[in-house]
Amino acid sequence: MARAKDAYVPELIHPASVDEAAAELARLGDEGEPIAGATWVMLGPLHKRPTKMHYVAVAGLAELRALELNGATATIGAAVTHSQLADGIDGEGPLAALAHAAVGTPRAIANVATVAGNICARPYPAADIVAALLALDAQVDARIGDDASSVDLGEFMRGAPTPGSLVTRVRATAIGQAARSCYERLTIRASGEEAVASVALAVDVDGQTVREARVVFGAVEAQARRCREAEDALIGDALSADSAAAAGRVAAEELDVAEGPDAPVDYKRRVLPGLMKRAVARLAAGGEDA
Amino acid sequence: MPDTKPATLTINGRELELDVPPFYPLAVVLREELGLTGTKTGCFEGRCGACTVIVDGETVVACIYPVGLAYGKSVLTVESLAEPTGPLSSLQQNFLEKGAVQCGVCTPGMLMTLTNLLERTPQPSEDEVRDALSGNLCRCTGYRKIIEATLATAEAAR
Amino acid sequence: MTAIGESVPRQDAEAKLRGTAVYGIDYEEPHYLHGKILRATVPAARIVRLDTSKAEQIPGVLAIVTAQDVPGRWGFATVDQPLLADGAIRYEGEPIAAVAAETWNQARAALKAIELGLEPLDVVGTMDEALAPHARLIHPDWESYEMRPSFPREGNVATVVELERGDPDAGFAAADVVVEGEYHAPRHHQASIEPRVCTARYEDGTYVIHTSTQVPFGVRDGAAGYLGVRPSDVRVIVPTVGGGFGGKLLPTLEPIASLLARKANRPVKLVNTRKEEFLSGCPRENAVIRIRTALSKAGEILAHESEVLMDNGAYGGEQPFVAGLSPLIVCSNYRTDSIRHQTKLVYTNTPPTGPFRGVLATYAVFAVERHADEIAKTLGMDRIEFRRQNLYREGDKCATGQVLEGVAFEETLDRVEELAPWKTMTGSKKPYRGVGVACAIWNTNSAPGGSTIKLNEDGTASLTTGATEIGTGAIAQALPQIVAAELGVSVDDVFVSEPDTSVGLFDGGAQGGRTTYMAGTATKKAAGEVREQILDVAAGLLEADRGDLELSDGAVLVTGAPDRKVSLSKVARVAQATDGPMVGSGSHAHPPIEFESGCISGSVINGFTGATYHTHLAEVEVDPDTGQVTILRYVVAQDVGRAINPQAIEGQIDGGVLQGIGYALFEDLRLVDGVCVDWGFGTYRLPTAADMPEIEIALVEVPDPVGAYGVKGAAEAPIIPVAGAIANAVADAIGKPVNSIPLTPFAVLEAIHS
Ligand code: FES
Ligand code: FES
Repeated sequence: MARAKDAYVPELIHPASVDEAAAELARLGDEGEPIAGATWVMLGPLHKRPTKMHYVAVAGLAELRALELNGATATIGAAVTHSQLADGIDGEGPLAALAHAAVGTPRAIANVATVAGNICARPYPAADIVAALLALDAQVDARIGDDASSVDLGEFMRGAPTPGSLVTRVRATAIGQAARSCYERLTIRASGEEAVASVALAVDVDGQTVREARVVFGAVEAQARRCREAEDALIGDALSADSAAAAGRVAAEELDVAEGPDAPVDYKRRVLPGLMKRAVARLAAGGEDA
Repeated sequence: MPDTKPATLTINGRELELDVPPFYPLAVVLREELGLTGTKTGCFEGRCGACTVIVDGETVVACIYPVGLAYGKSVLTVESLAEPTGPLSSLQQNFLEKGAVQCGVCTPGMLMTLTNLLERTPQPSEDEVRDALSGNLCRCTGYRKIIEATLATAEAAR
Repeated sequence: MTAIGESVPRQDAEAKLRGTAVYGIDYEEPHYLHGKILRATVPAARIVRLDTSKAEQIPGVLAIVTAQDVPGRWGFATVDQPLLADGAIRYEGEPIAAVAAETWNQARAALKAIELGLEPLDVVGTMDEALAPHARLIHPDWESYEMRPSFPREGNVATVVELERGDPDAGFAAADVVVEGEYHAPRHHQASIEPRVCTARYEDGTYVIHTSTQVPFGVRDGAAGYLGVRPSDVRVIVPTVGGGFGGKLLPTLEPIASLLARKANRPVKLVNTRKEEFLSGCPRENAVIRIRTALSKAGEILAHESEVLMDNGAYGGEQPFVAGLSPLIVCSNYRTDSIRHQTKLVYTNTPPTGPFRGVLATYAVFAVERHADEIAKTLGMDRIEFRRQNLYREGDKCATGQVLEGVAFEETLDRVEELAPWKTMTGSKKPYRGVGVACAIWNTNSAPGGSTIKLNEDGTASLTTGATEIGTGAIAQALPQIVAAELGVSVDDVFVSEPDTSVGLFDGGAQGGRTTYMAGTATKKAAGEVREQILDVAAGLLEADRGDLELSDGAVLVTGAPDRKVSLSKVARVAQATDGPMVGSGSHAHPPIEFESGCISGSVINGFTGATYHTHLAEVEVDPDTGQVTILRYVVAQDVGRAINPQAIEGQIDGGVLQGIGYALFEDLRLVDGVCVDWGFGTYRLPTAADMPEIEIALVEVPDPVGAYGVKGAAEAPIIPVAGAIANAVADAIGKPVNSIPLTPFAVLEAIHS
């Protein structure tokens, strides 16, 4: 009966601690990878992505599941799930972008899809958490064996994956003193799909005026992309529908929209001003879905 | 080298030992190894939700959930919602009365998702029910009676 | 006690809720083998080499079949489709070979080991390419293919339907105004959540097939054709079906599994992956519709001219028949006696298209109703006023000259008006908000059917029929309700056996809203026969006049004398002892319809049977920044003849409307050069719970003269007017015509900016 017992050949290793996981991965090098919810790996063959022969399960390691919140800063274990973010982060606070980014995923996926999974999955233009984290100046902590290192998420995303390494946590901080953030995703259906364009917005406002801003677009380029030109367009003005649309138009000029089956290139370009308007309206509404 | 975990898991309250490779999808183990065909599969892409089951209190799509991740955990399937000879659960009964079942192939996944929702959020709003269903496709019913049945279940539990 | 008109729950609901119902995907036979199909990965090629010798060496592989192993040929209309590609590949996804092995993985390994040599051919990917002068012929031997009945065809045109009535040229010459429009519609996939799946075995000279199908007798005939045996040598049994919507009408996997089973001498199970569903499955065809209407200033239609191009894909299937419906719907809704119409069904190197709930009417009505709005706009008339003036009325003729009776357009308009008064809805126009309405007439499929009913010794009744439950409730609700009403028993005391072509009477299948209409009417006749026998026996037992007896609560009683009664159990036992077991059977076919013969060619569909009438209204809001359409309000008035189970019908309307919303707004099975883009649920977007608006439903009951209790088809039609109503609302909202569906945010934003 049933399928061949040899249908799914890779080995699954269950380390007892983070140290053990790091050691295993270092030993395996290019032959292994960490997995948490395994959705990316399980869908690999369907999408003709290469697979590994050894996987190290990290979702059960309590240390990697810890989510620590401290005002405008979050320290997020690598195996923290989308559901943990959605439930644990205040959707109206400075880190709201992360909470908003996490709720777009259907619950049964969100329960297993992790932060590290989101940042390590390539190519994945619509990775919601990546866009939100980039807007929150995230730092990625990783280990190869006992060697720990830390790198800016932007740089992490630009680089190729390092064989044998284990991402352990991500630290995110909302900018400035009066920091607010939000995330808006545009979908074709009302729910249940990856964004065809999204924006993570974080601002520090002085009275009415934007002192500093982070604007990151998801699902537009091949990876989530911070757009400094759009940020400049916001800085120094009050947040308004007009300033948002203007920033969106700047982004439309700057971004190199990637072809994809989800939506036409022209469309993605055209909706950026509207998307920015929604994001700003959401900020104004205190994080409520405007 | 760390031990590979023993292949023991609890399914609908029964502890079982399995001899299957760890990357076997949980849905296939349930259906083909254990005969628990109440869990349906419609896509094997994690996008239809027909295979939704509950692992340690949280829903997962079993078609892309490797059985190896469930070792040592508790899995609940649609077969756990009512005793085989006992009455239907309140949610199941409302599905029956409100006409929320048509072809029924999405129904087990719907029931697992919504049973879990009602545990987390005993009095959901209509929008919360719709949101909870974002990963469960139904091609037959238009969802309206499924939503009605869920709200009626919550109402009765008030 | 009458069960007619009551919302009793489904008989199969509990098993489905507990997870104990056995679907096609769940059904297993002892020691069955796993089948897999080698499918073409290019849309057009010549097969120059096909070597299975290495694959045969793979351990566990028990059978491999290729075109050489297929004994027969078959076609629903045109015999154009080999079961397994025979020398040529005509679409991406076409089956080339199949294997059966002990395990799924061995089967997969065997597929990989099959050596295939291909010489590429130019891809004829679109209808334009296929119709271009000197286009490569997709079927160079088309003339030699048998076609039953023989319709006009030529080269890449698989069939031509033509209709001409009255004097359209004179109408156009006399016109004050001529309105023209061209409308486009996409491929639309049924996407039932359970894929196509079957298990076949060969036993004592009979192929026994358990399959998830809507039409067991159709599968029987098709399988027999390919297998080169008599239909009775094939036995089709249907487990619980996880949705169909037209996608499970034709034999696809069944004859392949049968061949493998015979060759391997073991049962073989074949299941489509979701990707295979999209690649191989017969989606609703993409189409182009052109309409010209000649009008007087007063809004009278003087003549109507139309043309439709339907994409057939690589093979015909049912499509040459379906195309025959085109003039009835495209030249429809509005009274006129001067009509000219042509529909062409065009071969392309794309997956064969096929029937999907509402077949061509979803786009035909979209076109007709967009066109009606354009006419009203051109004439400066109110859109509802134009409709009320011109919609078919009692005694009007439809396109083929059939005189329509029981026309219920007025009633459906009135009911929508009660729920959503047009003046209020359209009175104060808000920016980017719009209202649209669409009307439709639709046919109930009238393929014949039959049922047998036996009265059991315990006073319950068992119903056997070839009719099939696919989720609509026709078998799980309506038919038992009919039996219960006729025999005076509880619905719970009516048992329906699963369809088995070796046992049940022929049935035309779960399609076209016909099950309650045709199988239901046959069932009422069968129940009537049993009822007569019950009365005969009971009259003797009760020493009463037959005319004084009534059936109620599982007993026969004398009217007015409640203590004089005899249980059905006793009646059954007495009858069995004296005359033998009690059984009744009912067979039903629709009487022929009258039309103007000679006005139509290329079609065997000459008019409507069980015609139903529909009006839908949609109110939408468009986001000018993103092009997203939100449905604020949706109203349905549907003529069902007689509602046997109102809750079940509401469920059909809910589901049909949401499928229509998907079609109107985002479902689009895209092909580029014959290659499928949307082969998964990622970009082939099915509507989710959040896409479902509130729906207000009014059931209109204008009885049909033929259907039992006046019933007509109810389940199929609600999908039909949706795209028209929504497109009209969007056009109203943005002040621009929108003549191509789906109205994705991309398309709407483009229209706003145009
Ligand atoms: S089968 Fe698991 S989500 Fe579809
Ligand atoms: S009832 Fe058929 S898919 Fe939901």
